[in-house]
Amino acid sequence: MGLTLTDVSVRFGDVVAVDDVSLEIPTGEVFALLGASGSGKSTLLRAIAGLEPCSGDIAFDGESVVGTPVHKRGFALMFQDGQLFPHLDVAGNVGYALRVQGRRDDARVADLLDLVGLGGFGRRRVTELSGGEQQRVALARSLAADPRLLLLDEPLSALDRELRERLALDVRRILTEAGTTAILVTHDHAEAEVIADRVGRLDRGRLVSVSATPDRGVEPA
Amino acid sequence: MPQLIRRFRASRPGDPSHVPRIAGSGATHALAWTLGIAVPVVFVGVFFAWPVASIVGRGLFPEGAFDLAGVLEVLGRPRTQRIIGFTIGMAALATLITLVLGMPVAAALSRLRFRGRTVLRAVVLVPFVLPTVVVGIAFRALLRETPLDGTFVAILMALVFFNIAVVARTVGASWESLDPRQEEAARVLGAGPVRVFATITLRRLGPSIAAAASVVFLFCSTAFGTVLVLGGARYATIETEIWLLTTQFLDLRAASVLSIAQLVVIVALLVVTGRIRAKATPEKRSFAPRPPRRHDLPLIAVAVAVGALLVVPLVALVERSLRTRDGYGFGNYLALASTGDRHALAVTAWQALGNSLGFAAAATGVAMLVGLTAAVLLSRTPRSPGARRALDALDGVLMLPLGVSAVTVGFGFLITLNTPPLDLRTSPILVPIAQALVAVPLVVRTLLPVLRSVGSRMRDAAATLGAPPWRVLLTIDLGMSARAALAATGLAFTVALGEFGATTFLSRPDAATLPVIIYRLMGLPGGDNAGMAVAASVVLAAVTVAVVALVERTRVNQVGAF
Repeated sequence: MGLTLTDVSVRFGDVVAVDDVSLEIPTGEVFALLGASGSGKSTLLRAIAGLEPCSGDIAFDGESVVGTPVHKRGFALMFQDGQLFPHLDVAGNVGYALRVQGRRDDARVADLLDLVGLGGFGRRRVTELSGGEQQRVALARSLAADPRLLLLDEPLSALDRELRERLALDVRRILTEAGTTAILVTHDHAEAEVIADRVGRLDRGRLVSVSATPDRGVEPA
Repeated sequence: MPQLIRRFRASRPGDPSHVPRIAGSGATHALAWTLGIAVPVVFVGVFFAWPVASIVGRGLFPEGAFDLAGVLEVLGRPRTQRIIGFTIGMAALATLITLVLGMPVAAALSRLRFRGRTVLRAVVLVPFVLPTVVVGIAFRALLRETPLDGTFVAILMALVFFNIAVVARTVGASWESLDPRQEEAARVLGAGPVRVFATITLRRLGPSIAAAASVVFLFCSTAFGTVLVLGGARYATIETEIWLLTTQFLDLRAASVLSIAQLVVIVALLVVTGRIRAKATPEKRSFAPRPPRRHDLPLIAVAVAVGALLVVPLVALVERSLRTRDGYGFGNYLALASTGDRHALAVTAWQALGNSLGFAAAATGVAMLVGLTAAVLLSRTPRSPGARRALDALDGVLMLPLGVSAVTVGFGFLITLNTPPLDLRTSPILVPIAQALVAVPLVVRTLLPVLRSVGSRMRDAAATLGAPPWRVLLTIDLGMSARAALAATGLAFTVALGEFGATTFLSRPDAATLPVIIYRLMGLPGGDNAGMAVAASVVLAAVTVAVVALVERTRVNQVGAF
């Protein structure tokens, strides 16, 4: 079933940031929301996560989550700037969601770090990592929660071009391996095509088009 | 203390993703907020606003009606006018001298990496945390038998001694965040060193200098213990005059008028400080100090000289404590186990130290509970403008105990908290409560910058990882501010340990604290009592410095920065 948005709108006073968006994303699909800055794509993502109040309906597997608080939705959000917790080390960050669920699982943390290519980084301080490494930790941290939906808010925008292209391929591989349903917000068309199965374009809050990405037998990178 | 001045409020209207908010909603959420607000509001309301309001009310509304003629009569007294003028004039002069001496220290500590930098840092901080009575005694020991003893110069010197740390730390922290390349750019454009300093450095430091100056002025104009010890009967400030009028002449009306005059000045000052804080741009970066070059040597020399001057009164204090009637020895320290010459006290000095430590521990507990709750609340930016204004008001109210006469608070306790259900007059609990009241603003100022730096998006991240609000508070907000909380605890403890103004009213002779008996011994005849007071001062200073040394190890920069 996956995620179903029905007439979702977000208003800030008189400004309509997200305007009547309806969309279905089946389980296991990676969907990219493409748009210029200010098009409302990040706001829509935050509304789905439960961080912005909105009108309309957001449902997962046919069940509305509008009344469900953020921490009970099971949607993990990965921020553009990582938002790693500076007082915890790498393993502490990745294992945060597991500890919240009451299960310490060092083996799972180690597996996740291997998955994002940071095996053995567990005891490092997050402030000592490079930008790319920080985003990898943020991705591992989001995946640790076993989210039923992963929300990626411009996860690669803060990185330089070469690293971005390399990491985009990694993100695609990791998401496919984990089989996670995901929404990727980006302003980079190439990045959307590398990572996502389908691309939706947002313009001034309205979803103007949805299309499948070209066959990924040939990597566009 | 730019961290303190910085009020990070990301509000970019065009970019809704940057509007900080409070996640969650619903009835439990509202309940949590209400309880959170209730803790600081009830504490400050019952133990500050009510006592102060009622003592002021008694003075101004003697027969239930406002006594305007009485107020004017008090304000018209030549003595009142002289005291208000003296307080403001001396505080202004002390602030100016503190700035002049503090700036080189701030510059050297924030920009240069030299031998003895750590020692200088510590030396500058120590006077700020010393109990005010101890500072007074140290300067009496220093100036004894010099023409300066008992003059206003002695008071001025003691106030400067106490406050250099505020300038060094506040301006220093801001200096660290200035990009040195800006100055280099100006140099390359042909500006000489003086011009660079005046047109670039000084301008960019402006807000933090102004903030430091206003805080120093606040501390100088409300100093009590130091002025009482050094000024005696000759030099009265508003604060000591309130004490004199209340305890010696029972002239509540005049005391109330002076309390209000003081309150007006302080509130005006806090409003100005708030404006400056809002203006200061948030800069979190800090640039590492560089090794000094030849042209930096005069600056280092001046900074070290200021540091050396700060040590002199402490050396004099220790020297005086070792001087007994029969030459140098430990006689004064041995006397600490006694109740003084001719049994001047009800307890021994060591018992008083025990009382002080006990009261200070209790006060620290209360101050941390109230301060932590308040700081967590103040670090949030609610969406509703009304709620934001309410938080701003709470912020201001929590600063007030810094500026309101401790004597007024102490005496207010005695006249308000004497009826059931709050009949606490005979209860020793009033002492730690009054001490906590003085410590709360410092706790809030230490924790707030760290809590504000957490950022709502980091809390959002934790929430999307499945953490309920209480868990976000515990693992993110408090997790990140653990070291600052430790530092605030130490600071609250030293403040409580040295509190004198309110404690002197509230502590009973059989449960006296060390600062209170130091002052008592000083005022009593008999050379041995004075020697014992000095020895007790050394002990109190040593305990305070030990606590601060522990705090310094947490390396939280904003301690003592205001």
